Amino acid sequence: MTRLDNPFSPLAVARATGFNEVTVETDAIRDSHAAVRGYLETSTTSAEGASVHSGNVLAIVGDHGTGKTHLAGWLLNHVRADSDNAATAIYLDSPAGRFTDLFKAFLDTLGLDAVQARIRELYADIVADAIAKSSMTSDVVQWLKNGEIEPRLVVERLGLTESRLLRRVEETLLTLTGDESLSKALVLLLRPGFEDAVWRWAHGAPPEPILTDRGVSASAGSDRAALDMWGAFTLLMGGQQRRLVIVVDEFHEILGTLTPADVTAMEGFQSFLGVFSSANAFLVLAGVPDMLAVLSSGVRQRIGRTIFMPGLTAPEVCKFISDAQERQFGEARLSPFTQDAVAYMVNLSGGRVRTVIRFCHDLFGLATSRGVPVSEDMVDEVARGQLGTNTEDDVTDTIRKALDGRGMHYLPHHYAAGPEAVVDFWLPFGNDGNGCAVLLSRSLLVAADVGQLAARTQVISGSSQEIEFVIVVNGVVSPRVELLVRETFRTYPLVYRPRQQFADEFMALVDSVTMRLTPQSEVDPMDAVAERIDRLNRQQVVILSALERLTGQWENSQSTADRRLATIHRELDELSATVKGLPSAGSRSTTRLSLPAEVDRLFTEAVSLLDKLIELNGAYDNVFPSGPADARAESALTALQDHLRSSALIAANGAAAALRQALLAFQRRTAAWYHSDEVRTTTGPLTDDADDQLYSLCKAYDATAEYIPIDRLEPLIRRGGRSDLVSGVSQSLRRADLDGAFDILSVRVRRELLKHIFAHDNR
Amino acid sequence: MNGMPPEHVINPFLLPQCGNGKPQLLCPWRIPDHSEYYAAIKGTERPFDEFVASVNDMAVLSDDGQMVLAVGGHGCGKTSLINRCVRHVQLMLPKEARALVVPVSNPIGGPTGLTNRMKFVCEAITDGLESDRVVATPEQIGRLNAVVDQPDRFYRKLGDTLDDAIVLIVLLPSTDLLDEILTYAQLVPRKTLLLIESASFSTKEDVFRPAGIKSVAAPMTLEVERIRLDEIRTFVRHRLDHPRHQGMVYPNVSDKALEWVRTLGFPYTIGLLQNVFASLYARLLENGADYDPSRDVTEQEITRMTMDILPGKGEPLS
Repeated sequence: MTRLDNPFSPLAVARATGFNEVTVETDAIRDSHAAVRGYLETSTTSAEGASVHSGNVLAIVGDHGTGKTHLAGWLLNHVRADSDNAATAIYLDSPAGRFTDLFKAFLDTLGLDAVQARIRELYADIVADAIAKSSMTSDVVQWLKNGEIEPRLVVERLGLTESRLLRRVEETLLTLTGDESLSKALVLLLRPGFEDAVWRWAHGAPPEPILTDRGVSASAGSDRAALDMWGAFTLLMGGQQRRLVIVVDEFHEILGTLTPADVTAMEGFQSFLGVFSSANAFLVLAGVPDMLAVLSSGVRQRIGRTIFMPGLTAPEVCKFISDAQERQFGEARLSPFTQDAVAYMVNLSGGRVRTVIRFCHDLFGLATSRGVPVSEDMVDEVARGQLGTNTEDDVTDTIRKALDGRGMHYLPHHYAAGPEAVVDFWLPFGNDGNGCAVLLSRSLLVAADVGQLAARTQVISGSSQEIEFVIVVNGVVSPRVELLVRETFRTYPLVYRPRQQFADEFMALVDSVTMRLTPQSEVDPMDAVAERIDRLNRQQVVILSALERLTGQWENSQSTADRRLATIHRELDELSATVKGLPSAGSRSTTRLSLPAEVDRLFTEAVSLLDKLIELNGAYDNVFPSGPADARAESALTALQDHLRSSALIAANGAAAALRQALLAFQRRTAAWYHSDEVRTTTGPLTDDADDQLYSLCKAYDATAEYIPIDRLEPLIRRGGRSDLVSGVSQSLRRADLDGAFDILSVRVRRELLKHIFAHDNR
Repeated sequence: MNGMPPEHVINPFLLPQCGNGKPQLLCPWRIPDHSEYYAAIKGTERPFDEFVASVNDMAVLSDDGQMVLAVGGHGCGKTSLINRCVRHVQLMLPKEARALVVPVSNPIGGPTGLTNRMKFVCEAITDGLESDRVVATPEQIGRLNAVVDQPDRFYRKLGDTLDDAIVLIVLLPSTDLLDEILTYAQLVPRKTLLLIESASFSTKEDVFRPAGIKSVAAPMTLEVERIRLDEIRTFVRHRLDHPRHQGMVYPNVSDKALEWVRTLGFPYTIGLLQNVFASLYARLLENGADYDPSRDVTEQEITRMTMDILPGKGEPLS
């Protein structure tokens, strides 16, 4: 047995182009096929000669790995094999971009040749009609109808009036597409020398002079314009007796770049979908379920049919295993799998196609190498490696965004009771150490997994009065331990799924736990109001940040702005430090080693925020009078004395200064690491040693910073103590800024460094 | 071939100094002998007469300059007409005057924007003036060169530059752009004749009506019409019976065959006819054996050559 003998793909990633995979006909496949077949087989004219529109839009919805791409490939194969209808089938794998990018992908796949052929076809009809009827010209007409002769050649050789004929083509195109500029531009494809300019313009470039001279104006530079033009192309390439099937895979990638401000894009998309009926064309949109939530109701109404991709059932998986082995070995068989093992595997994987195939690959390998049938224990063994493959960063990011979105106060990576009792997210309630602990866990497959998790919760519980747990499993909970899990934990764990729905479910769980922790009768009404206002403020900050980001995206200059901001921060930091007599993030006793801009920004932002808080910076200089009666110095002295009377403020200043020192040291050491020979001379991936070293630096910073929590800076944050709304908002802003700057700082520093090194491995 | 000296065996449809492979276009201002090869085809005679009637004196050009647009389908004879007009002006001028002809082809490298095209023409004109060495001084050329990208200033200066004894004739690149035609019509300076052709339009109506252009703004427009069916014989006979071909050896085309071609009703242009017969005689000449006046070209041979040329199997059209 070699790896090549394994009939199951180790990656299980479907390819729609060059599709050649084993397909089990599920309900989803049957439904999709019926829809497409209905389109292909419906006559475009009724018995009375009236036009019949059978064009439609089909949505295929399913999580990652549920077989959407496989289905798309399968459908395309069927469309292409339908020799009766000579349909044009186009597959688009959505780029992570905008509608403009998707439209460009459509044009590139369709190709200039196909568009030119279509325009020539229209021209040939018009030229054929224009030729005077005679016995000799009937041959020419036939050549034109068969596409055997260039209509342009006939026009030239027979001295026909080109302008009149081209005007008729333009009118036909205008009738077909409804787009004046496009009609003018497409007509130019009938003349040599214009192809490149027209094609560039169709791709969104501004019209070149040879086009503007001929009345071509608007280009497809915006989402809306691109969608309108795409609709026009669909009408051109579809319609009449023609069949056009477009499959857009991973459509959520496009929607992910849309913001609520993109109303015109969504309206454009709605109109675009409307085109498919009149163009008698067929559109398939495949994506994750979240895509439906992003679409406006108007758009959803124009989707003729939505097919959800359910998981495979056990009998379907058995059929798949049997078919795959028949293709590989010429014999249909289930062995070495058993029906029970398949049922268990389906239960664990939720029938997710990609997971099932990967399971099959690994299990087939294990079973054949051990010479035994696949058992449930083997399924567990494989599941340990296969499931929970979402990175921990993805999970923490999703949770952090969900909490931020609700304005919740939380401490990430909180040491509840020593290193053994790390809480991934700690949500404090009140001042008595009560709170909600969010714990991340890998798959719970066997009793030992449940035991370990239970032990962790016990250690954490031992550190506080009242703690509720929200457990997030990055993987699966095996049906075999389901009962044990229910008995062990008060709240059943939530299984992570990379979808918006998870965030909603997570917050609902947090809310229910919050209710248990804070019975209204025991809460000081003023504290509750303060907490509520604080939370609203935090939400406002999140919204403001989001708006800022949106503005940045809109101007398409976020990264530039960030770099400039980092530079400004650094310069301010240097200036500020010079004035205050402190070493700055940018100044060193030795020559400063630079860090990548993205990493540097993380440090400079954090240091700048601390500098704003540390009130003693430079204060001593100002209290020494510059002359006999220096009123300013007197006033500064009084302010400083007031300040020094508050031990809380002095402690907070000290904590901030300590944190600042920790940051600067971390920055220096990170920069030294970045410039070390081992990192600098690396041309490929980082060595394990270098990676370990960076990891140690981050851990060392964490270990230091853990003892200087942001909470200790509270007196500085609340300095002024006024309770008016403006002051409240600014406090929250500062608090949120600090949380944002210091939250998993070491993780972000490491991530940015690795990202930078990966992207610039030829530094 | 009946023992005739080889120099007597000719292809009667090849024009003087336009051998095989060269464009079969009449260009009497360059090759004066070509003047004899204009057959009496109404579609080209009428516009030529119109031009002669309008441009009948040097004063017409000296005072205002003139812009002429020739329109008509491909192969109808626009270029030949324009070349004939140029020859007419050459012959019309008094002894003390002369014409400087500057032909400007389309820029190499495909279509370009109007601004660039006009600059290209300005540059070609200064090059033409410079190569003549008599028409303008180096300083004048320098002043024109400085404004090649400002056509309005260029053409104003051009009119002032030209000596009274000179008529500048510019053969502009063919165009499909009405804007370009109208711009030249407005810019044409005195002592200058600008000639331009367009196959995109067949009639004045085609050119100016869609854009609502009034006749005052329009240039002199010569409509070249396609050869009529009953003129096919005239054209072929004009070539076969040309006085220069007396004593030469080549097959004949019977009137019966020409009548048959007429009744076919095929929409020949004069360019296509010229091409069909020049190619047909070249093919017969290649095949050799019975290439003499005793042999008649058959209607089937004419038809076959026509159908070969149409999709591009025959000789390229000029």
